Amino acid sequence: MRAQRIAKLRSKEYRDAFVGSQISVGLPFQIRALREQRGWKQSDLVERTGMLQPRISAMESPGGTKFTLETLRRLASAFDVALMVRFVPFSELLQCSDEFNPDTFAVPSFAEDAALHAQKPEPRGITAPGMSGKPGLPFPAAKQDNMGLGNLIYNNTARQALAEQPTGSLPSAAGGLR
Amino acid sequence: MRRFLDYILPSGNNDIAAWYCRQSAECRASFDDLLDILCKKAIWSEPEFKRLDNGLGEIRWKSGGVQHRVIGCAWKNPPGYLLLIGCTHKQIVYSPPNAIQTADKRRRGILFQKEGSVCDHESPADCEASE
Repeated sequence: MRAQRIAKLRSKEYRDAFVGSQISVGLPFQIRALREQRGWKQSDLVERTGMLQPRISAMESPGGTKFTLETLRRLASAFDVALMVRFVPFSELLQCSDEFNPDTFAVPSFAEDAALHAQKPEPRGITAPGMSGKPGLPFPAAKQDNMGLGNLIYNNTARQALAEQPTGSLPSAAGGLR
Repeated sequence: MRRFLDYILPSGNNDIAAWYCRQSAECRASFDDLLDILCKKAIWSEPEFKRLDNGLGEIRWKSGGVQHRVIGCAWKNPPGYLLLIGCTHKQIVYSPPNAIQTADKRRRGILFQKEGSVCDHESPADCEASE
């Protein structure tokens, strides 16, 4: 499938359509997975987003709606998750598409974001020794993790491992492979 | 991982591949993405899949303001789905109007080994060139 997809991406028209379908088809599965992960019904999402139920239903249907950034921001707020929007090479989009599995896709809310809460907060009121009358607080460790929060969340949640399963044999009832 | 198969007409032509190439790039990309997702999804349900009568079902999505359907039949162990016919749907009308009857005839042709055959799903990359 991947080789076929790469061959198709040589067409500019298909490339543009691929970018669009990753949004129009891929996002509905993400939204439903996030909702079900939280044990919510569509009515719960209606309440949390302030959107109407038919709109929520359409957003969970492949191609059912045209998403705007404002809509996505409201959904991210309702799920209490971060939202990343950035330009990437097609190879990266293809990889994300390959790795996406609606059955295992899960994004923890802020409160449940263990990777975030495992980070030690930086001391407040940092001052250089001698710059104030108070005793100087220690500077943060010289070697800081330079990975931004967005990347941290992205790396820990968005890339889900795809559990490959071997393909089986054809059903005996079928008329045989060509 | 679910396996997809295409229905092959008695003439030897792949009707699913031919249908695919008649669609817009937007529709083709959406269909490709949907199959990529569905092949990993253990349980299919609405809105992207609906069970029909006679053991048939339809994969459903919308692109270009049009409701698209690919009618087929699924089986388990190992999980698979035979794509029988592509069509569109508006309100209660299919286009072509006999899409369900054609799908049922094809399903029975394969099931009882009367006519038609199947092959692994083909998703042509050179539709533009063949147009």
